[in-house]
Amino acid sequence: MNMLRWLLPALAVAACIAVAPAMNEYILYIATMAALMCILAVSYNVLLGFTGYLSLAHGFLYGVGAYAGAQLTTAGWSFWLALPVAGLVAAALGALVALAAFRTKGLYFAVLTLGIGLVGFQLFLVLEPLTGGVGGFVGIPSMPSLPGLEETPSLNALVITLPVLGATFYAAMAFQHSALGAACLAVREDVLLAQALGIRIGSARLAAFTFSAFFAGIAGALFAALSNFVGPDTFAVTATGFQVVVFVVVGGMGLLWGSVLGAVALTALPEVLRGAATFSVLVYGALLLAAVLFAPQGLGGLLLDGWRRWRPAAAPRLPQPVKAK
Amino acid sequence: MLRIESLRAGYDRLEVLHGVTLEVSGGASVVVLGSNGAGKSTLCRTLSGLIPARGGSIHFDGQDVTALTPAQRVRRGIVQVPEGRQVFPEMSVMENLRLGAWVHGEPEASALGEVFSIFPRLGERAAQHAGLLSGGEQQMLALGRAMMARPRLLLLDEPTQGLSPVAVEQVANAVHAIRAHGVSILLVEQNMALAEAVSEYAYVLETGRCATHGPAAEILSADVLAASYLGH
Repeated sequence: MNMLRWLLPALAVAACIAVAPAMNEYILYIATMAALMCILAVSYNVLLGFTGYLSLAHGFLYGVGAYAGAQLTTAGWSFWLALPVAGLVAAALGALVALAAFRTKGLYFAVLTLGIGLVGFQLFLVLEPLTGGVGGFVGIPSMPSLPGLEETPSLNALVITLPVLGATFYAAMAFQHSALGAACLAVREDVLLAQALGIRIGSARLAAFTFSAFFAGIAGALFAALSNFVGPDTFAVTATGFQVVVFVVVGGMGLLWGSVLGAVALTALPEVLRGAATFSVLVYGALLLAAVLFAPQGLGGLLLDGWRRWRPAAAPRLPQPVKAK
Repeated sequence: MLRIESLRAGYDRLEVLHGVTLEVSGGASVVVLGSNGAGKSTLCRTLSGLIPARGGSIHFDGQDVTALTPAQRVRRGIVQVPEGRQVFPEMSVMENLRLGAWVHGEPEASALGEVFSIFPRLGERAAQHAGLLSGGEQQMLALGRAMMARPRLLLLDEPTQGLSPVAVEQVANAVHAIRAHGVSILLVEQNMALAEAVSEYAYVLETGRCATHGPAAEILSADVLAASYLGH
């Protein structure tokens, strides 16, 4: 069972890569966007799912990674080097945000990160030399071609993005099973009790936030190289900042594969309902409501429930709904 | 081992402890008695570092620990079992125990064996959700989890709250077993039965001050306590 849990993500990535050559251009693009959103959702789940803190600044950190990646690759850096460095830039900023935000308690954390998300969006508009301002950042170099994929850039992008998603997933799993991960769960359940046990709640929360910021930055740099253009609108609180919350809540807070499920379903949905893209914020909002009201443990929770009824002995334990902090 | 001098502490504008002085010598078991609002839980929380001291000092093994964080105190061996619902209900018994050893990284096998020998019930239910345990078993788990931190002084904040008389007896037995491992006890209680069963020395806390102290048998005798609980 345990072995399987560690093998499955790699198998899933391999399977997706195996079927990728059969996809047409349009499906390839959607699949790449979905994989990218999965990276974002998994990284965000480490924060919201493991610690219970609702941050609305995740879209901003995603943007920081995107602009950092855009700057570096445009300046001639190798994509492979720019990718982790963009992650580090986002992680550094994320750590600063966390240090400020965790001084607050409860609802104020969400409000403060909302403020950071809003201010960050304005900064993207104002800091024109770095971001290109309203006009956006144009002419970002594409991802480098892998051997044999020079003729098929869309396939190339998906084949690069999927292993990055796999790596993100494994990193999140490793975090979950580390001492810091255990500390995060303890903090989520009961801050005072965690403190009484000598758990350094500050480091646990900081680690979770920085971790999630790092992978948000990576996702941003991938996005920049994928679309060759980055504009501030993508990183508004009402855009990606809100989207990730929906991905994770609909997928199942604290369930890593749940957020993959949520991100894939919700990225594909607007494409399936052609024309519904205009209403996507509305649809997302409705889904968020439905999840909170009827399935607080998300799609992942529902599936686990079904699995448990079917095979009571084999089912893993369900993570519990996250209390608002 | 533990020496507290003129300790003051409180919340926001409210001061609860107005200068508490008490001492626990190595290997001893001391009880702090007091009615609701006397400052018992505040005392526990100040000792474990959950709330800061506003004045006075706390010395542990001759070293000043007044300014240390809760984590640093746990590492030195001062471990609190907080009052109220004391387990992580959504985690298994084993996960709860592991968290107790968090300050030491990986839990030591010997610590786990020790806990299971004191509380065989926890061994039987290691995989179960802590929230599904009975009240008495949850208290055992809270004590066992504290033992995982390898304490030298255990702070027990009203461990019998809401427990049946049978469970209170189990807690008393557990405290004896824990003492047998060389751990000193500072118990904060309203429950006379437990205080009587496990403590040698007693302090009476009254509105944030130590009203009186002495050998437990003496303090627990009717007149001293009546004065303190029923008013003079």
